[in-house]
Amino acid sequence: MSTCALPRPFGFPMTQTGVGVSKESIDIKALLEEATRSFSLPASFSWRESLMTKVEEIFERCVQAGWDGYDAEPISFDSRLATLKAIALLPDNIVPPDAVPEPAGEISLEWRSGNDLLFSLTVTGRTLIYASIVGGHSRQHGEEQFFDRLPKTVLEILAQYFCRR
Amino acid sequence: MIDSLRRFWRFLLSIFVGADHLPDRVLPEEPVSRFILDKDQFRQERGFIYPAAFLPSKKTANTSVYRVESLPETRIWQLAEKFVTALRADKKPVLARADIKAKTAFHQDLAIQPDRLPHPRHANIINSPADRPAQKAKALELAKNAKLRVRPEAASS
Repeated sequence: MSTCALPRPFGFPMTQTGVGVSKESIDIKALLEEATRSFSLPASFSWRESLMTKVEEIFERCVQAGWDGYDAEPISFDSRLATLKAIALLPDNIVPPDAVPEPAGEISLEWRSGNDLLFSLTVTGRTLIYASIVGGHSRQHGEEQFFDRLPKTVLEILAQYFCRR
Repeated sequence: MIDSLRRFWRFLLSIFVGADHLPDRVLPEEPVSRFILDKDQFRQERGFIYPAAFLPSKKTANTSVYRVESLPETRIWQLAEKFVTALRADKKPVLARADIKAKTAFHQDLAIQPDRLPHPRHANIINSPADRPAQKAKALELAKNAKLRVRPEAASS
């Protein structure tokens, strides 16, 4: 896990309060505290959070049938929940995926590095569907049950090919 | 009489859509385009198309494409405008397209069947398996081998 814990900025006295402290300095203190909190969070927090935001945005945007210009089904509430759950369970030290709406009304998580490493994962309810291309001729695809943890197959692919160095 | 009508129909096609020379069977080297209307199904800055763009419709089990052999770029985007966007109630624009050679689909045991509606160049990728992981695997192969073309108007906006 990569944690980016920065020292307190400029040695600002974070506990300074009381009479004689201006409103501006209280505002600055609040901002610095917020910044310190952000810096103390694991690096994975920011991509995980923005990915979850993207899932929510897709869910809201793809609410009508035919959102893809063809016959796509609306993104289902179940798919949204299952995808958010999968994101929460992803390891910290991986390359962040992209979230992509699929015509069956689901959301996939996509990893791609160049033209030789591709991994696509779709979770809906308790089913997880995946397919990968890793290198010239290595292909895998399958379906797994999804409960409270990501299946070993998926974790192995992520660890082996999409680990953040 | 029927032959005359056929010849006249071909003449009309050649005049208006330039589709007279398309063979009835899609050839392996023929380029086909999948028009993309959703902004999340491709990544312009990296030139990627995501497999979702090639997954078959749950309703028809097909993936709609256009045969674009010998068409200049402007004509391809005109097809998108007139036969995809214009036919939609919401007039959603085509943002990009994924170009593949037909043989890419054939190598995945998929077939491309000319449909000719709403346009003589329309076709469908068919024979997609019912098994969803297998569908995903084939879509991944098509996406890997596809070339992204972003519509000029969309690229500049």
